[in-house]
Amino acid sequence: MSDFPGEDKKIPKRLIEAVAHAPVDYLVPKLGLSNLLDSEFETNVIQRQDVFATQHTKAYSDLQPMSFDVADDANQELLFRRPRNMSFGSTNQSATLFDGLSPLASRCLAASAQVSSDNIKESLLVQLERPG
Amino acid sequence: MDLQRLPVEVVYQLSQEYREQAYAVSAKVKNEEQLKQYCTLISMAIKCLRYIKRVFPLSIEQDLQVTLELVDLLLQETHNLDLAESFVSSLRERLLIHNSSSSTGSLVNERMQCELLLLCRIPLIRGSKFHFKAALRSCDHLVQHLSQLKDTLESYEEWKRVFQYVSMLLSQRLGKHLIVRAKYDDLWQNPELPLQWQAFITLSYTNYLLDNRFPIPLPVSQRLGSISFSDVRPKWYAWKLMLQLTILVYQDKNITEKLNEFKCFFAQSKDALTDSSDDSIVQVGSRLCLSLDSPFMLNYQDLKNMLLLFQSVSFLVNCYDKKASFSVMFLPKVVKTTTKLIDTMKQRNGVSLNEISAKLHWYEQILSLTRFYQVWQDMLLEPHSLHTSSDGLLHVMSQQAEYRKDPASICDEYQVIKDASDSTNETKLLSLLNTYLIRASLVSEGVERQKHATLCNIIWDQITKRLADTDLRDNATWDCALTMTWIMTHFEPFSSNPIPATDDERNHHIEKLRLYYDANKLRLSNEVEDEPQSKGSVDEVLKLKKSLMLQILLNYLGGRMLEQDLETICQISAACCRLAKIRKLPVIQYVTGLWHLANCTLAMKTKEVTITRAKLESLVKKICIREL
Repeated sequence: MSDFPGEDKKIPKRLIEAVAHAPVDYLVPKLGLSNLLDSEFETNVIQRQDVFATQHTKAYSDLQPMSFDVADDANQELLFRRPRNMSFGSTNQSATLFDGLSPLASRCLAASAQVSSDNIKESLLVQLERPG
Repeated sequence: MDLQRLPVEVVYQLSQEYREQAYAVSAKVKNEEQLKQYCTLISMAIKCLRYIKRVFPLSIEQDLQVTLELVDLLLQETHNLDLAESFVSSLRERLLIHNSSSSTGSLVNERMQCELLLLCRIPLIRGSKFHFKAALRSCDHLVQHLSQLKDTLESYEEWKRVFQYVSMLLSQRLGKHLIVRAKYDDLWQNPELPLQWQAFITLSYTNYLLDNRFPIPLPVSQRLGSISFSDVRPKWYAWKLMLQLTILVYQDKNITEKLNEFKCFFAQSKDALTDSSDDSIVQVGSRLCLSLDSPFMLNYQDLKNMLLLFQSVSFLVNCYDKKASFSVMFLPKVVKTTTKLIDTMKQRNGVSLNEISAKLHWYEQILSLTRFYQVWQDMLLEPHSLHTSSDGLLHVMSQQAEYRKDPASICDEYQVIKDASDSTNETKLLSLLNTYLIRASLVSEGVERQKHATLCNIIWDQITKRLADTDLRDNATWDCALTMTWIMTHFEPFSSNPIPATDDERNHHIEKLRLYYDANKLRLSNEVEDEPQSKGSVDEVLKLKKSLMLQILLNYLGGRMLEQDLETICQISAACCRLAKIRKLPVIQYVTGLWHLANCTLAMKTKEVTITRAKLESLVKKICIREL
């Protein structure tokens, strides 16, 4: 065959040269399909027991509220996990999540320190990396 | 210190109330203010429990209850892991002292639960090798200790099993894969294990093998297969079926039968697969039950959604085929369903905000996988269009198909992916294979021939070594692809400068090509798309999915190397041209067209020669326009 279409053109004439322009897409990576099935192992063996006499706190509504903040708590300040994959805007709609608490619980809560945004972190690293 | 102290049962009751309130409103947390309120509620629950521990004298049972609740809150909601650990450690001390001073010895389960927190849950949350190593050492000591005690109390034997499992789990996290295998075999030495525990061990071990893309040994897949519907709870059975499906998908095997099994299973158990069903319990022994983290035990909706995703992946290479383009239909459906499930999740009541967040993260993973496969599918359908993806591999592949960049820089980009620590074995193998093909084409073109030929040999070694460590070594599609690649680069008609090889190597690869060709070649007498129907004569293991590119290459190579009859060869070359056209790969179409032209000329089919010439002429124009 002395003469064929494209003979003088710079077009791949051999299979390997043509194939190099077509990345291997017939081998599909399966990535993390099995990871979706992973189950974490947790440890709950003991059934909840009634170790304290139970009575609804409404029965104690005449008791004086108290704060449970104790001085040495400051040494081991609680640092809460900030949920990932969730965004929290600063919208005005502020339905309070305290509605429905018993009077005693509400008054104790009012007497205690509230958690601030600085104490809600995605990870400890973020806090360590922050200057100051 | 407050003067009027609330009674202990009131403070305890308050802690319960704060936690329950937090979990009841967790789905309502929408803004920063509410997030602070949620955390305040949790902090109140924690403070109450700490206050109880600090102020009141507690019985051992009370201390146990309060401490475990406190630790659970700290681990679930806070970063204060040291604090949690110190609470567990002192509780363990108290239990030990109590145990030696009392005659009953009845608190074995309680002490062991402390150990489990210290050796398993807390190190896993910490997630560092340092903590895994320390926990593993202690865990192995404990197992040894429990082995010596086992004659005295049956519970010890059951706990020994648990810690043997924990030891395997920690070895997994440390990447000690040989030890993991030995430990799994060890766990199986005991013939009297309850069926549930047996099933759990095998399910979890298979999942680990798949996550790491290790080959599944025959005994493991047999044990997996022997888990029967009547032995385990429905969600566990679903887990088994999903794992078996994954094995088939990873091997590029036909999944139709497995899908039918799912159908039967759903007909029987659909109603049992709810979020509220208590399926996360596993019985370790006659008196010991543990629970799995439930958010990841799949409910019916999640299972169905995942089945769509898995089917799409399995059928992805057939997406051009209108009769079998499941991925085209299913992938958008997965996106839609997942988005819906996310909305439902956001309204769930009674769980921790972090539990919701973890499940949302799981859904995000599904969405991100789906996006990846959608781009892959677009690439199959429109190979030469530009496809943008955040995935590195897809990005480079798209650039390679576009051939706007010079080959050397494409190879460099593949190299980056191959060397990245977070690339999976599979991604690395694909990068290597593409690099190999590009360099081999440079050898054929005579561009720095010696250099690229040397590099090709190095890359080929890397591919075969890497492949041997993964489950892909048993994957027939991979094996066939590599065989074809070798043939393309080592034989004259396919490369102008074949890479040298010994006769033995050549014969070995031709024999392999023959096996795959015989099992998958086009059926010529009938329509091209028809499968070979000869039952029994073809080894099922060698049968491959009908991916167009694979068919083109296999028939082109087989037709040129293995067929003798000119009429047959003409039919094959005509079919290859047709397939390359459907696949929208003009350059491949051109090369197969040249072969067809030569065949027709030889066979003196003058009409066909004229037609093919005309087709090639227009193809050349098309390619040249694209190149400019």
